[in-house]
Amino acid sequence: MAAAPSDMLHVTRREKRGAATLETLAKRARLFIPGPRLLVRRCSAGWRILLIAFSLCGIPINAATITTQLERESIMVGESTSLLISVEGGTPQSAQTFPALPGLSIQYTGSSQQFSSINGRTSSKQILNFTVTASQPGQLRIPAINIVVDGTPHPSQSVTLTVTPADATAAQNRYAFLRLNTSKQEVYVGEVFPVEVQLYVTDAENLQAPRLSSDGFIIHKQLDHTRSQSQVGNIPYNVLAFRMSVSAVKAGPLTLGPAEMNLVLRLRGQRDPNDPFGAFFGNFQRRATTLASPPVAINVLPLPTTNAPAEFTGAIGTFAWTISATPTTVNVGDPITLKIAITGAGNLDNLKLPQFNWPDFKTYQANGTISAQDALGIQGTKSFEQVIVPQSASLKNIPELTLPYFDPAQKKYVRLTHAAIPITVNPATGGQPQPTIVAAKGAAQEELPQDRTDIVHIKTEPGPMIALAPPLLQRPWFLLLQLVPILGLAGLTWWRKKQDHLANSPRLRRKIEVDKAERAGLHELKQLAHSKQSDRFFALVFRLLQERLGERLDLPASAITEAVLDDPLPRRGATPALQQRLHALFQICNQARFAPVRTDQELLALASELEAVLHELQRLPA
Amino acid sequence: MRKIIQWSKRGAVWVGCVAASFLIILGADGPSQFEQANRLYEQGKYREAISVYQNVIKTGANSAGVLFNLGNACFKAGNLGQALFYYRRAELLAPRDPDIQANLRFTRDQVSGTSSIQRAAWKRLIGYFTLNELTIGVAILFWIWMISLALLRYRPALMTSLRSFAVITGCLFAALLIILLLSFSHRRDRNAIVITRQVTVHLGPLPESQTAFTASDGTELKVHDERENWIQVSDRSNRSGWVQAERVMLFPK
Repeated sequence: MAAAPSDMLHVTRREKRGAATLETLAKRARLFIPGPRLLVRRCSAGWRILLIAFSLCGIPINAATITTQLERESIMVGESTSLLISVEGGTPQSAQTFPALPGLSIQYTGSSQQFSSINGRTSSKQILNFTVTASQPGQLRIPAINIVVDGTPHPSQSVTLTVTPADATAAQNRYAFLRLNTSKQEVYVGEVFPVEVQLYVTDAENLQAPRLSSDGFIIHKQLDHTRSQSQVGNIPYNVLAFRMSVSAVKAGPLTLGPAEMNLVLRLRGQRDPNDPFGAFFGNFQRRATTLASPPVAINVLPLPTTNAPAEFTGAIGTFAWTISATPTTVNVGDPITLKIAITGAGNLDNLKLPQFNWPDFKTYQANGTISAQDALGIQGTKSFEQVIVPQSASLKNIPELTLPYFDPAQKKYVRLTHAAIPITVNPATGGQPQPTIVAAKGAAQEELPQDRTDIVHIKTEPGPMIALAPPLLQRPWFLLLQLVPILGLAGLTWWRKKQDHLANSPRLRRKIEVDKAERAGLHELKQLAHSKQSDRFFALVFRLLQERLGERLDLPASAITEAVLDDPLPRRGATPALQQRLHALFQICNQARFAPVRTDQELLALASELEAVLHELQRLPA
Repeated sequence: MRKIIQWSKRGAVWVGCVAASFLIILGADGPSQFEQANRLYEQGKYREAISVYQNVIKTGANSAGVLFNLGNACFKAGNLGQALFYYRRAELLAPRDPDIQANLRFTRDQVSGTSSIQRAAWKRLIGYFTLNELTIGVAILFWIWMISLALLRYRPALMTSLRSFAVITGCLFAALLIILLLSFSHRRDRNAIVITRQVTVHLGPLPESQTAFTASDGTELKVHDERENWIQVSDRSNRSGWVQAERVMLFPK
C-alpha cells in the first residue's frame, strides 16, 4: 500500500539517519564481524559542500543512472525491509508513488546523500528510502516507478521480494534464531540459485560464519554478510544475511541445510541496585549457543534427455546474445575476431561456446570473461573472443552460429541462433605465413596482445643452467662475508676513539713520544758505547734524562737542570736513593765535558745505570 | 717449493675434472635432451616431451627455458595445473621474461572458476626481481654504506662531503633490506595448485567430510596446514577446507 500523500512524491533534502543508527546499534550490540568497509563516508555539511564542489570540478557530469535495491530480498510475513532507489549523476526532484500492491505496504521514509571516494575519485548519489512491509507470503514483485531527475523522468527497476510465512523458530527463541531462505524449491541439476542464511539476533558476540549442510549441492560463491534491523513481533533484531549461490549436482529430493552457527548471546539481566558501576558496564550474562535453521527440502529435477540438442554444453539459465565479426574483408590466413557477448542469468561459469566444426576455418581456443551484474555472479554477461582464420578464398560468410541452453523457467531446451555473417576473403598475397602470436623478446607483459589465442611458443635455447642451491640469503658463507665490513668498521671506530683520546690528552701523547724516544735512545747508547763516541754518548744521556724528567714533572725538557732534583722531584715521590743516582748521572755528564774519553765497559755500565734510573722514573706518578 | 708446485698442479687437474664433468652434465647432456624434447613437442607428442623435459630437470640443473617449455608441454597436454606449476618455477628464475609472464597469464585465464588466489600488487612488484638479485643489491648497498661510514671514521674531515652520501646509502640499504625480507617471507608462502580436473575441498581432513567447495584444474590455493595426506587450503573468498595431497602440487616444493 503506497503511503505517499499524492501521486508524485516530492523529494526533500532531509537527511535520513538510518545507516548511522544501524552502525550505532551494531556497535551497541557488539556485533564485531569483520568485513570489507565501503569507502563511503557520511560527512558533515561543510565537508559535503567541499566534496560537492570538488566533484563538480573534477568529474564530468554523466546521464543520471537509477539503481533499485532491496536491503534484503527475503523477509517473513510482518517484517519490513528497505527499498533503496539510488540516483547517480543528477538531482531527483520528484518520484512517482508506488501503486497499491496486494500483500505489500511501501512507505517513503526520506532521502539521504552518500559521498564516496574510491582511489581519489569522489562521487555522490541521492538515495530515496522506502520501507516495505509484507503482510502475505509469496514472490511479490515491486514495480518500477518514474523518478524525475533534473526535469527528465527516469524509470527505476522492478525487483522481486520473497516473503515467507512467519517462522515458528522466531517464536521459540526470542533472543536469536537462524533462517535458511531459498528462492526456489524446485530446481534442475546444475541450475545456479541464490540461498540466504539469515541470523536474527538481539545482542551477541563471537559470531562465527554459518555452516551449511549441502550434501548434493555445490556452493559457488559466498558473499560477505550484510547487516540490517528488523522487528519481529515486538522484538527488534539485528539481522545478518549471508548470501551464496548454490547448484545441485544430482537429481532427486534433496535437503539443503540445516545451517548452523555458533555465537555467544549477551542476555541483559536485572541491574543490581547496590552496584554503582552497573550503569556503566551493564549487567550481561553470556551464553554460548549453537543456532540451527530448519532445513529446506528441494526437489532437484534432472535435465530432460528428450530433445536434448547434441551441441548442448551445460548452459542453464536464460540467455541472449550479440555477435560481431571484425574485420569482414580479409585475405586467406588473416584472422577474424568473433566477439560473442552472452547476457542473462544462469551458470555463467559453465557457459561455453559450442565446438566450431568448420573445415574451412582454422579456429583457436576462445577466451571467456565474465562481467557480473549482481554480487553473486548469477546475472551478467560472458564475453568470448573467438579467432577464426579462413583457409579458402571461396568463403562467402561465417556459418550460422547456434548455442543451445536449458531454460528452467520454460522447462525446455532453447537454441540461440545467429544468422551467417557475410565476409569477403581475398586470396593470400605473396604466400603470407599463418599468424603465430609470439611475444617479442624483451617485450613487456602489458604490451602483449589482449586477444591472444594460444600460449607463446617453446624456447629453442634452454638458457643458463642453474644448479639447485639455496638462495644466497640462506648460505652461511655469504652471511659471514657480511661480517667483514662490520668488523672493519668496528676496528676503525676503536682506532678513531684512541686517536681522539690522544688528541685531547697532551701529557699522554708526550709520554708515548718520550717512551718511544727512550727506547730508541737506549739502543743508540749501546751502539755509541761500542764505538766509543763518548761526546755523543753523554749528550744523549743528558737529553734522555731531560726528556723523561720533563715528561714526569710536566716541564719543557730544555728547562730541566740538576736543580729540579731537589725540588719539585721529591714532591712527586722520588726516593732519596733515586735522587742520588740522578745527581750522580748529571755529574758524570758534566764531568764528561771536560774529560770525555772513557772505556766502552764504563760507557755500557753507565747505559745500564741510566736504563734502570729511567725505568724507576717511569713509575713515579705523573 | 717443489711440493707446493706438485700440489697446485694436482689441484688444478682436480678442479678441471670437476668443471669438465659439470659442463658435460649441464652443457652437453642437458641441451641434447632439451632439443629432443623440443622435437617431440613440435611433433605434438606432448606427453613424451614432458617426460624428456623432466629428465633434464632431474639432472639437478634448472633453467627457465626448460621449465618454460615443460610448462608449455603440460598446457598442450591439457594439464593446466602442472603448466602453472612449471611456469611459476620458471618465473622464479627469470621473473622478467615476457614469454613466461604471457603464458602464466594466458594459463590463468583458462582456469575456470574464480577461486584462485591473487597476488597483491606489491607482491607482483617485488616479484620483478629474483631473491638472489635482491640479496646482491642489498649486500652491495650494505658494503658501500659501511665503507662510507669507515671513511668518515678514518677521515673525519670528509664529514661534510660524505655525510649526505652515507645517509642516503643507509636509507636505500634499509629500504631494500625491507623489500628483501618481504620478498623472502612472501616466497615462503606456499600455494597448492590443483592438478586434477575437479577437486573437492572438504571441511575436514577425511574423505567423508562435507564439501566446503570445489576447485578446478589450475586453481591456485593458499596452503595453511599439512596433515599426513591432507592439506588445508583456502581460496580467494577465504573459504577454507582440506584437500588430498595427491590432487595438488605444492609451490614452492
